[in-house]
Amino acid sequence: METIRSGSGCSAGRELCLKGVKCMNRGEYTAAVLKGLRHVTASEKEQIRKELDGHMEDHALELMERGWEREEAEEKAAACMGDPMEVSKELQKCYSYGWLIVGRVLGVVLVLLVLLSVTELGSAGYGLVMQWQAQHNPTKHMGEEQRAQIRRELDITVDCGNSVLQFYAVGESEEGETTVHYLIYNKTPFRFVAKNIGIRYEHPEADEHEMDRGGGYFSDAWVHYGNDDLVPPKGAESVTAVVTWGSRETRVEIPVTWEVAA
Amino acid sequence: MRKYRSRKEKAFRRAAVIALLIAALCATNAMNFLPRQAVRDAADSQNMGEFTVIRSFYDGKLRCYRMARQYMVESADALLLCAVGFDPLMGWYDRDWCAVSTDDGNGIHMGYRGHQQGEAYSGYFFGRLDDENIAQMKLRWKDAGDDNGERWCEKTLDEDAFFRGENGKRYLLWEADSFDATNTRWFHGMTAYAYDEAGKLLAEEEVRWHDWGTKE
Repeated sequence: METIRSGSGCSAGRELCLKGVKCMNRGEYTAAVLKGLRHVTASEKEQIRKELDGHMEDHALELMERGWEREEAEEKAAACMGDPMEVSKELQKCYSYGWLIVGRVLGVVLVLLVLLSVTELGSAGYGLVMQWQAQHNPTKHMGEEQRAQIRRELDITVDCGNSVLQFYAVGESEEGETTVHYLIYNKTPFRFVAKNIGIRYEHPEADEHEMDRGGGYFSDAWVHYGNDDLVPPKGAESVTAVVTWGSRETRVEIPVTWEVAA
Repeated sequence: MRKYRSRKEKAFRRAAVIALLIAALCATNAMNFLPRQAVRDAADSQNMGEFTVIRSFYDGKLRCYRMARQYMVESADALLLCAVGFDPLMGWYDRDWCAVSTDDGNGIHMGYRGHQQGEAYSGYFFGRLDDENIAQMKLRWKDAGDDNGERWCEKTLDEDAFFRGENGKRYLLWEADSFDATNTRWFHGMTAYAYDEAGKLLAEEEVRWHDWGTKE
């Protein structure tokens, strides 16, 4: 018996009992340790319970293998764990109240951020799709009717600083005007489109009014789609689009003719 | 068996996930956690490249400005005055702005950004003075009031409107308090004139004007 006590590092058992500390079984001992802990969550208590139980179970089994009765072995194993209040004190050091508060605050922040991210990242994803669509399938946003009015697809790109202006189609409106379709997007994915890019059209034989017959636009934070109606002079092959932003100006020729289907 | 994690480890893991989410929100421009990111959005809308902050300040005169900050920033070709606001759910966002081009070779570049909310009004003239000889500036505009816009008005800018930035350039930032600021009609067609010490006209430029309104 003495060999086992010293070999397992157990020196407290009988002395504790003799000093008047009630001999406890595993459950009572664990409960006593847990009672002495403050600010410990339910899951942490469960973890501690399992840990202590495991230790005592191992020790009790060892004793039983050497001929101890189960009840005695458990009491002995519990006693060998030491004073439950001392164990509580030592364990308490591993469960810092500060880290509990920090963890909980971060948990709340995390939940809020996840909720925000669902909507905000969704919106950013929409923006990315819009930018991709503008570059690869610019007519997708159009209705059937508007798409049917397109007579010629274009790929004329104007570099406007951070943004790109692309003339992607010319069409014919119901009133017989020529419609120039363009779009603007930021070169950098997710970034917002410039709102200060202006376009006017010129032709040496046309007056200002004929080159500005109205139009329309569809815009969000990432892409701006626009269409301008104009009436080029008869026989004109192209008109000049004057693109301005800030104090800069770029001129490009926009073809306004197309093959008529037989 | 489930791995046990200490409180410290849990807190660090949560902090790491928060940092990752913030990085994702910033990288996708989905949410601005710093006012400068919102200024970036305003600059993007004006097609400005990389910018530096010339001056930032607080102006709480309007209710919509109470959680906002004003920024005067400059890129290689433009100067921008904008307000960026903070919303707990949206983060920082661009509220209003006015940009002026600075690459046109002119001696002065002037803009005005005003914002009205109910009876309250906040307006600022801002600009850059590229001509070192400029000693005085005047604003001149045609009054669109009672006499059908025939009356010319003039205002000399105070000396404390001018300041030198850290980059050595001269700038102008002046709060339009002394005007009847709720009547903004006169800002249309306003011209700024720059003079030297002797009163010789050095440069003139039409003030680029941008006025905003927010419901009370």
